[in-house]
Amino acid sequence: MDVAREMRDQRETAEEMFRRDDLRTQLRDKLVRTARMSGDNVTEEEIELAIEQFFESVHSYQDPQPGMKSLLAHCWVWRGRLALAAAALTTVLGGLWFMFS
Amino acid sequence: MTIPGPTVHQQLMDAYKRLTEQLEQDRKSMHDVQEQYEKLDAERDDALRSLAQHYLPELTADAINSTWREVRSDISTLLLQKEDEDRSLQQKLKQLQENRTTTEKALLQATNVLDSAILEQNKVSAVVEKRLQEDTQFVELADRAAIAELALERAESNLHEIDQDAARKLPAYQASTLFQYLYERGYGQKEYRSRGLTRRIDRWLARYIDFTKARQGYDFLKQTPDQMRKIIAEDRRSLNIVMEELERKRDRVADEMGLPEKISLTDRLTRDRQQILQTANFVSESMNEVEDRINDLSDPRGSYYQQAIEIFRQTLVGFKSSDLKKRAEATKDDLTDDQIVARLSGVESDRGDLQEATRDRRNLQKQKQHVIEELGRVIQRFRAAHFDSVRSHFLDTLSIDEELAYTEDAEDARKLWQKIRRSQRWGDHESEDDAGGSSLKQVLVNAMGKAAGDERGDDARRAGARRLEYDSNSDARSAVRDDTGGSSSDHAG
Repeated sequence: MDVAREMRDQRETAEEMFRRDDLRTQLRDKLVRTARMSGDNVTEEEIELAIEQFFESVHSYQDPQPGMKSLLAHCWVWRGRLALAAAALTTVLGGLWFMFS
Repeated sequence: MTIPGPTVHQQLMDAYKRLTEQLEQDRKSMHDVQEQYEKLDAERDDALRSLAQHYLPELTADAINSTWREVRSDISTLLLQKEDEDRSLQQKLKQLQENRTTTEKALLQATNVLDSAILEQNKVSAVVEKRLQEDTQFVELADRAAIAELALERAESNLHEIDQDAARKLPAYQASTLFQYLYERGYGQKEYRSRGLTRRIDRWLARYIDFTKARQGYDFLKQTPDQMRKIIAEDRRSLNIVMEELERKRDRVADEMGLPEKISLTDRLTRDRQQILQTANFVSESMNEVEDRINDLSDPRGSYYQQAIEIFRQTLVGFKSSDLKKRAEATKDDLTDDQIVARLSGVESDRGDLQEATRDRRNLQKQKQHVIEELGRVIQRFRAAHFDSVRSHFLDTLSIDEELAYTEDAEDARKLWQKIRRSQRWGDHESEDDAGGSSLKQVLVNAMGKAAGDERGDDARRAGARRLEYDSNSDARSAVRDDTGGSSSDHAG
């Protein structure tokens, strides 16, 4: 049942995307209407630019800005490799200490 | 005041180099002579051709009868060949004209038949279309097909846009370490199994990068285009089914009205007409070629005339200018041939002058070559006698450049060596030991020179030197010690 629901959802999403040009038209009408109501004097090019920016931002992804949180997040993701490196370093240092002490 | 040996040696070397360069320059300039020969030969050929054209102004029987006896037979043969070819071409042209008439008639007929067949086919097509338009089911299917086609075009346009969107945005997801970590662990899905601290930190990470929203975007960009492609393919299949149904209906009506037969007839007639048209074009091109050739033959100065002139020119090549002049003078009323022969004589005279000048230049070059060779030998002797040593000096009356200016042949060059030897003096005893060979003998030469005083010193030295040579020839042991093989022969010379 879950598989059937998943497939239906995907098809609905896909069919929705077939109406992407309609969505663009609706968005344009809405922006024009809003601008008229607020008394803004916007041009066709400005509206097109706004629509393009909207579609550009939808479904896009960007990593958080670098900082302490970002560093900690990366350390967590690479914890396995970091642990391995620490173990290797400890072994080397221990070996050196054992040989020269 | 004396000139040092190295200076004289350098003067000799410079003179040798200068003479060699002059000779090389002379040889290079001989290429220009070849060009002059070619130019004169071309002028001669041109004059002979003009003379041939004058004596044979056109290729006709009358002109041949009044031209030179020597070429009459060959040119008559050429005229007969021309007339034969003309006759043959006339027959071929006649045949081609008949072919063209036949082909044009066939083409006209084929065009008429084809036009009738096309008209008939159009009539039947119109009836078929009318009957199909009257069929409500057909009209309904056609409407559905039109709507489906429009929807498909729109879907394909939207798919293209989504594809571009995915290609632009997916790399950011794939490059993110944090997102890929959670995605690969299946965070938020049933397959996610972590518990305790790991789960809590993963939850913090998911909130930090807003993983739920990012995953939705990623899934959308990954899956939607493929899903859209599948839907488009299904819709295309559905449209094809509708189209097949429409075609079946069309075929049924068309078969009833006999339209396929009409179409195949039209195709066959079109091919036939195309073939006839190709034949007509070929015949027309052949006729143009034959007509061009006939026009050339009818021209009394056409290609056959050019051949005749060439034959005439080759005959004239065998005649001497004097004979040609006599022939030209024989035609009292005609001055043109006299002018051409005069031009020819002028060219031949120029050629003779050029030949003579070339011969003289070659002889001069040979002489120069001999002088250079002899000068080379003088330099060899000069070095062998150690005259190029710093201890060797020459009287200031010796001028190499002046001597060479008067040198015309090898004999003069040989005399130069005698003059060099007579002008040569050794600077001191020690050096003469090396240069002359035996110190005792050199002592004799020097002592004789000094004893004789300034006036007769040179003669006394030469006498001593001759004695040196005599000793070297007679005394084998002395000859071995005395390394003056070159200078000995020089003395003899």
